[in-house]
Amino acid sequence: MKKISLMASGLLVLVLAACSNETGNSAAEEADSLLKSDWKNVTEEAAGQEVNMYMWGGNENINRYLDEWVAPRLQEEHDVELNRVPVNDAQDFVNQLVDEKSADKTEGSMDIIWINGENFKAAKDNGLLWGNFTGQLPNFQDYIDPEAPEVAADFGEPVEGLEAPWGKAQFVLVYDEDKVKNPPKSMEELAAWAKENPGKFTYPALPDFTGSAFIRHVLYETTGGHEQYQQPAAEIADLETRLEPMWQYLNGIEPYLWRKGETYPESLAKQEQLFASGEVWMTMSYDPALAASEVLKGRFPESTRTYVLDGGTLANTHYLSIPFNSSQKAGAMVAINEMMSPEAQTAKLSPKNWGDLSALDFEKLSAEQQQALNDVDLGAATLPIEELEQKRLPELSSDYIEIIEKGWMENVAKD
Amino acid sequence: MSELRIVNIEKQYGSLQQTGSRAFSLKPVDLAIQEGEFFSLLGPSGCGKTTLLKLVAGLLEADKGELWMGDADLTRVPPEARKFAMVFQQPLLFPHMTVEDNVAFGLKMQKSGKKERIERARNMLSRVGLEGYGRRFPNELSGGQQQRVALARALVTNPRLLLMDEPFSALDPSLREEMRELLGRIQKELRVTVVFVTHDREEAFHLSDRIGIMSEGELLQVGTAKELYEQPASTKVASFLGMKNIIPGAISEGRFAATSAGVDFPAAEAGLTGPAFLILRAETLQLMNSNAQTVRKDRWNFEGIVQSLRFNHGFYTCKVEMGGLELECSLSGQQVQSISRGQTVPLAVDLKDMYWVAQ
Amino acid sequence: MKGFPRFIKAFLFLFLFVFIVFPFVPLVLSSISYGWQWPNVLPESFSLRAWEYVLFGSSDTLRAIGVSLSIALIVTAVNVVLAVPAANALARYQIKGKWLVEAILFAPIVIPPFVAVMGIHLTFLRIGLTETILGVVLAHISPTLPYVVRSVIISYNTLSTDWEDQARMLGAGAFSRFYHVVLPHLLPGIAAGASLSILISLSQYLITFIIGSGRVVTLPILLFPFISGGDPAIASAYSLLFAAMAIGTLMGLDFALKRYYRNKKTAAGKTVEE
Repeated sequence: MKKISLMASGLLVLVLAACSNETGNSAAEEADSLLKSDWKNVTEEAAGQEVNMYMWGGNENINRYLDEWVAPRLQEEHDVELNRVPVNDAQDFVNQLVDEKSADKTEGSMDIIWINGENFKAAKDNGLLWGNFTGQLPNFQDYIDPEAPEVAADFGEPVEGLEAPWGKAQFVLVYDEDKVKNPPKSMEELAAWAKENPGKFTYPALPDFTGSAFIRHVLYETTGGHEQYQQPAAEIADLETRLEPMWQYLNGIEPYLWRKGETYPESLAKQEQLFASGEVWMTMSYDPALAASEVLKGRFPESTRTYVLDGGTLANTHYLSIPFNSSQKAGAMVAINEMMSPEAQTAKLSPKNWGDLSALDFEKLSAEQQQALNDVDLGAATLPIEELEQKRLPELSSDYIEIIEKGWMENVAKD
Repeated sequence: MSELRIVNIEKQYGSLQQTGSRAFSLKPVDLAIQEGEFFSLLGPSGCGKTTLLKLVAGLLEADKGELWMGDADLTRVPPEARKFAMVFQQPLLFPHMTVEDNVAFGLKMQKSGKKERIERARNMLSRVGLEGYGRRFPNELSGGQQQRVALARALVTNPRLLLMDEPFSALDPSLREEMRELLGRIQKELRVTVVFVTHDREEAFHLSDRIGIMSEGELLQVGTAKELYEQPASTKVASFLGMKNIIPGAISEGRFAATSAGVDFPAAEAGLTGPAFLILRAETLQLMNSNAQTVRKDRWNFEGIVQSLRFNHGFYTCKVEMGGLELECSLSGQQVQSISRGQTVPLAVDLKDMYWVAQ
Repeated sequence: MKGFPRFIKAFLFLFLFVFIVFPFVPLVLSSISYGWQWPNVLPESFSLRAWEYVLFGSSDTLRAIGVSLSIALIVTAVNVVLAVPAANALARYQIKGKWLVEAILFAPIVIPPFVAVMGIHLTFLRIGLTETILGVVLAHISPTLPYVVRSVIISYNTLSTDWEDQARMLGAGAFSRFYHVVLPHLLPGIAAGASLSILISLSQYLITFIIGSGRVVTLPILLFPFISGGDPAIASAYSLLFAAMAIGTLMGLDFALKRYYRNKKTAAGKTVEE
């Protein structure tokens, strides 16, 4: 027995040795030259590369869009192989990059990561992102206005070319047309509607992402607009008093909510279930196409519709970035550029593929390209893009979000 | 020839620091066992007989001493290479193998061909009276049958020495006797040398050419059954062999005296002087006719009071009290009819049947 | 008297059905449902969308099952090789500091695996073991080995050294003793430990994801995002597939073991009847 275990461990050591190949140091320098070189050189270098894209893998449509629409085109047109790596939570790969950074791993396997918001901030703060690469991408140069606020800052954090916009999301309210004839278009109307229809409205308990976004709308409308919150939270001395009307409003509608506001759905999924079963008549989503896709899946009734508040709703952008230690940076650049093309963005917009809003500046598109985007059938449940575009509100930075979530627990959930 | 020589083998168990396990030591043993001999180690449990057996087997390593088989020094040879065989108290048949495979196991280890293995295994099984049982599994056999298989398995390789560690002690008495017969017969047929450990003196007496008596880690005496019985080297040996009549006293000027019992008679044959034990085997005590007058010089006559009578297959064991000592004698059924409890009876012992050991 | 066992049998059957079969029913329904709205006990219509995606979509499910199974089997084989000598030592010898060895060996059962895996990740990164199947296999050993060692120890505890002494006296060397005497006795314990090891390895998500860095795609790597992502149909289909994979592997193990024993019995049985 001893002999066998000795042999086994010997074999293990051999395999270990074989696996830990020497990694080239010149790779880093070579990659940095990509930031300056001609796009033609980049595409040449990208040819034959295999690019790993780390992204949340829990949506069939998104997975299919990448596997069946994007990947074959990349392979055919640029000889770049796109390998989608499913991840449960973007935070997982950010943590992994932190480890790789501290272990000085120079040849990483993450070439493209799909991030935004807090994960972008964490990655940026820890130096996990490669560099200012977006200016190199032809489609970025052609179709993106880098100065536009929704592209220049990601939840308040300056983007600085570290990530390229891939798509946009906008908050919408969802209702059942058969039950709600005139959906409330402002917080004032919502309060009145809730009183008229007791028990038919609720929102997911914070810190649910969507529930938290709903509260931010209340904040904007009850405290006098979003402009005042564009500075860091610490710089507003009387923030607590300024937030007071919001708590009053939320406590005011509480008795008319589902289960008299004694409890809130613990997640958006739970709220969607309540909506699907008809227990509540409204729900909400940060994905304007979600309702349409739920109708397609048969979960939501055919009469489901979405709308935005008259005062506008929050919008954010999600991005693609390249980690510091990607070993296929040229391929990653080509792939990202391709995913930003008007064709890819148009396909992405279709609910049959994904239903995600285009990241491109509508004004910069040619007439045909605009037409193509407009021709996409978004389904009856989704609002026209133009309407969405006109009613956009900027996101808050994460320091506010923390304060609001804590305050909600103390002021609303407690009693 | 190939006699087995155990040269001053000794073994210490458990040092003083280690609490928990009792310290035990086997005092040096020096012994030669002839080829084809049936040798028993007899002693109470815990006397070290199994330890000695395992030392011979090699399952334990001796602290000192050597083991020789003929010209071969086996002291450092591992047990699997000693060409010995062993039967344990439990049959230890491998449960996942058939009886036949069990028996053939030793041959397989010797790399004999399959055909030969099966043939020899079957042959040996029929010798132990289990013909046709070869394809069964051990759990389909009775305890006695299992132990027969164990015996067959040990013998099939023609071992130069068969070690047996109380192999029949777990069996019913009647089965035990049957197995004893079987073992005796097969041992004679195969002329295999046997070292047999037991605490059952009848078993040892029945089977053995010679017996070694052990007690407290020491080999006390070696001899044939008759030698041991008639001339035990010490009271320990005598009492372990079941002798009850041991009278302490002293020999001086050719007479043995046990003052407490008021005994005093010539002891010229003892050949020793000083404190000594008189050992009287039960069957040497003779019941005299009450009217018998024959007081002979070569006989010690005395009277005893009958304490108890107990029937003991075919004869009676009678306990009599004499001068504060309790003596045991064997009486026939006929003799018993004339006596009863509490009765004073005359008894006699021939002086030539007396045996003394020094105190 | 005769009614009693039948009653017990019926009860057992019901018990099995309620606790083992029943939970699968909603999973099956959910995986093939289309528009299953709340108050309905059964879905109104059915669709094979989820199964179509899971089995034939671009999701590489079959390869993931293959990777899952090979990792589980390699891990289990390594575990058995490591556990047998370890259990032998722990069950039979009085070693100084044995409690410490046992504590270290059994710690992974008590300590959440991701605590350990954080440390392992950095080390594996440095020696280049991340993103490899080998690295994942090594990382899986930590939560699985204790169970195998434990079950083999139990087997060893019921094996008196007399058996090996007996084999020794019949001329068996170290290897033969192990192969012919010890191994058959340990086999049920090894099988029990191996089953646990396979199941635990198959169900690892976090360890596989962190050490494999997403490059080692097992079934849980595909399954987990759907559970948290709220596509109940696909999550159900994957869950059923996962259960089938686990049950299939265990049944395979059981079958192999049964055949091993039956071969012995029938080989013996034939000649008895002759």
